[in-house]
Amino acid sequence: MFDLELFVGRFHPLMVHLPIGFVVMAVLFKALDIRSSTRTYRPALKVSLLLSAIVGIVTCLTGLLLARSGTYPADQLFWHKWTGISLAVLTVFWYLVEFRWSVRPTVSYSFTALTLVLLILTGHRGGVLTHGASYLWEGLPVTWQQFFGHDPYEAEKLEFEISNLDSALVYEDIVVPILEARCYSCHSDRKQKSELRLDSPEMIQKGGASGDPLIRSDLDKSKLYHVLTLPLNEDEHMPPKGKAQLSKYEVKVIEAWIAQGGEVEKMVMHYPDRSALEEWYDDLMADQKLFSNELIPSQPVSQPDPTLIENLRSQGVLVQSVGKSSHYLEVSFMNVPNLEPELIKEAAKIKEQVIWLDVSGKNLSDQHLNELINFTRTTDLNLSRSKLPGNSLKKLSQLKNIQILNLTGAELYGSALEDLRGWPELRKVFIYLTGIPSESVERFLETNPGIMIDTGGYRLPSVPRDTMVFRFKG
Amino acid sequence: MISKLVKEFQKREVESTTRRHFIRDCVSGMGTAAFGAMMLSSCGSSSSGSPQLSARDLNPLAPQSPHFAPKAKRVIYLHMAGAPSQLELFDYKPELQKLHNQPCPESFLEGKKFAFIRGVPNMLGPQANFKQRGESGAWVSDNLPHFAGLADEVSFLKAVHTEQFNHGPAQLFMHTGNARLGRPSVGSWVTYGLGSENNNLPGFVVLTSGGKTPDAGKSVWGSGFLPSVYQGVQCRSKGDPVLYIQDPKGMDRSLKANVIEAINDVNQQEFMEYGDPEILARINQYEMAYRMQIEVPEVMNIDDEPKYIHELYGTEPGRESFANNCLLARKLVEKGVRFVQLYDWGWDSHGTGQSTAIDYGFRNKCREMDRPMSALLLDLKQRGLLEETLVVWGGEFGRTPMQENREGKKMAFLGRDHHTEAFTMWMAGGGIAKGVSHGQTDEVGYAGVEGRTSVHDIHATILHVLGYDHERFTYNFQGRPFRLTDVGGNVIKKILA
Repeated sequence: MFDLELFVGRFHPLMVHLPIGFVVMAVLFKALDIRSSTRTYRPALKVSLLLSAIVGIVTCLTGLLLARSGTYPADQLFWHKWTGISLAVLTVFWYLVEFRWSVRPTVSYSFTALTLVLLILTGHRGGVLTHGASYLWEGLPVTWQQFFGHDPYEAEKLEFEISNLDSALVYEDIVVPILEARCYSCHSDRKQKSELRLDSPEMIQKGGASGDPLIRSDLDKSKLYHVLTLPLNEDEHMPPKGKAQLSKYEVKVIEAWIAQGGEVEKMVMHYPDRSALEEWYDDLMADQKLFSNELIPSQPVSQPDPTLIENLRSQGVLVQSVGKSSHYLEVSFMNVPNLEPELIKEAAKIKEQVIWLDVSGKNLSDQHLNELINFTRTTDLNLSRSKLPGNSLKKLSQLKNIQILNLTGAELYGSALEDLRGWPELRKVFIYLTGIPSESVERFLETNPGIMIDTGGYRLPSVPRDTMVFRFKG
Repeated sequence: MISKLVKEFQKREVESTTRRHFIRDCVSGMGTAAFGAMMLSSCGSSSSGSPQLSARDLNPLAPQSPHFAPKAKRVIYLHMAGAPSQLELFDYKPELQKLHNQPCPESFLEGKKFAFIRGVPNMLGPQANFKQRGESGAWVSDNLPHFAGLADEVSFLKAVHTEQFNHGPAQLFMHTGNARLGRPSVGSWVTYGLGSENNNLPGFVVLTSGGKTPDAGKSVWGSGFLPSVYQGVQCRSKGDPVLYIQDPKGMDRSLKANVIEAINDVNQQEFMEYGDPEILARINQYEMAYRMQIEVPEVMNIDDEPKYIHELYGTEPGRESFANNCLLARKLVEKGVRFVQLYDWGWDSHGTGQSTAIDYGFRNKCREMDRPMSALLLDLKQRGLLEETLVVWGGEFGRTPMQENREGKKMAFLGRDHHTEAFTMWMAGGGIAKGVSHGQTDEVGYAGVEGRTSVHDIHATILHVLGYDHERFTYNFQGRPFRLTDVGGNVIKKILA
């Protein structure tokens, strides 16, 4: 079979360099011509422009043939195709403007400039098409790349929707998301490197250009398993070196799926050996909790006013975003020896963002508390070693989001625990050295069994080994 | 006196002129090099007279946000210098008992190098009784009766491995991520990254149990190529915590303030002229020393702690001991100190004498460690501090399942040689799961067979719970970014809460 279209089309990557060279040459001669008082450069300009126009048209034709092979994603192709065609047309018109029609010099100048701009755009779009969007930036320092809007740390996100591992479909729920994140960018409707598509079970079965079967329950004969497990440095290893790799657990999952013949119906529970799938799931769960933090609200928040933060810092208040990627703040009055209610009031201007609040070791009055109750988003409140007036916890019950409350060593009133009833999010309370009687703790826990109250006062009873000295008697 | 000063002034001036000339002459030739440095956006030292200063330069210990929200804000690192035997504490190997006193199989020795073992040593069975503890069923020996009760609070790493089998390099590796001198310690990295919370206390405090200091010297808490303000501040647990912390008799604090102000003014001028960032470090340290006078004597004083606390920790005020340091560590993190590093010593159980015998000196060391370290965990827990404090325990390597036979001879006492391939460490507190045992060694505890973790993995995990992505946490030095974890390290996900 002789595919003439494809054969000619494949010359496009070779041809493209000709118009690039000739157009640049034409622009150069035009520049020299403008500077020169004689007409010395006109013939050279004429030849290079003529050549630009001719090879430009030929390149366009080969390009259109190559595009028909369908290996390139349509949306990315669009820009390269039309800038390229415009460029060819433009060079023809430039030639006409320059040598056939008589126009004002400014018109030919603008044709020169426009051609150059279009050349750069076309070339770049073509580069993006063959080498990927980040090709040009990858050598730059990371900060510069981020400036150009490309984050090298951002890999394709792996997203799984699995509520119960047993009833998850191995192909659809596990294998597809892995292939999607790691393989589809080159082997799907986006691109078909080696004529391989992996985005449907039939296409996986069909395989790629080499014709080797991708899936065979005999792993040694399965090409997919082979390329995934080759050493990274081998040319055939997939994904290619430099691209995001499959984790060892993901490779094991694909291996288990291949060993089952690559079928698409089975659920995890139908697999005779589920160990690979279970290990993969454990790792996935571990990944998910890697950055989860119960103490950070899930809804986003606006950026706090930096001048307010500066103002608080100048008065010794520690104000810090909990992480560079978050607008939520932690605030501590650790370095403010005499805390005035006014300062808390000032801090309350950023109450929308404050989620961790440290007011430990302070002598607090009702005025202080009246200001503290504004921090309604706080999830972690530290009042340890502070002196608290009567009924203060009743007041603080307005802080509906508190999960952890540290009262260690705080001077409290006897019925304090009663005021903690009905705090909706409360999980842990530390009351060591508060003098709250144990009966009152027991009573509280009867109605609030989900809350952990640490009363402290731990002892390490004496054991014989505490005093046993080992000595050699020989 | 005056003439001396004038002379020094002239000398400095001459030095600075020549340097400037040199730089001016080299500018053209160094164009490319300078461009390279710019590309790496290296902040480093600027050699011109008007240094570009960031707010960070002027206040290097100001608190900073990590990459993402942390689970722990502070670290207490308990390092047992000399390397305790995992085989008598956490790694229970009944098979090893069966091989007791039999020659070591060749397969363990082929191509291997040991610090002292020569020829074919005998295997040494576990010299302790083990039991599974708590709900997690973690193995803890009867050498640690108190800690055994806390097995459900911590996560064990049973198959840590290292690259170094001598104390100095191994300690450097464990604390700086590199076996050779010059890298910042983990505490320095953390202080550099997060700054210090309490204005009146250093961000990174080091306490040693007295006796020997670590073989690797003070470099294990040094700042390496980071500015020297980030190095650990060693406090003494006996006598003045910091030398000359008290004002001399007849000199009041305001006089001292004036003195420091004057010195800092001079340093400031010096800095404006020469632009050496170390001068800033000096200014900051003078100011810190002055502020430390307020809080350090109080926080470093354990005399006023109640009796039940002394009973819990087994502390005796006025002594230099691991117990006192554990109590101090709690007091320091309570006051917002970022990184507290404890060094204990005497764990090098070779069996050369009674004090290093695995069945004598080692057991006595266990007694000295068991109560204080258990008390520390409990005390942090009851104060809510364990929620946000990471506690790390470990040595610089492990010990061999073989009995040491120094120079190929049978030794008077039972001992074990240095071992790099498998040992146990534990972590607890903020961001760490409770009661997990991760990793497993082979039947005799020679090498990890599952869940092996490297020193870089441990560093990556410490940085992770503090909110740092260890791969992005870098410092530019000598034209390239450096990491604590070099080019390795994976966060140990299995022990994260």
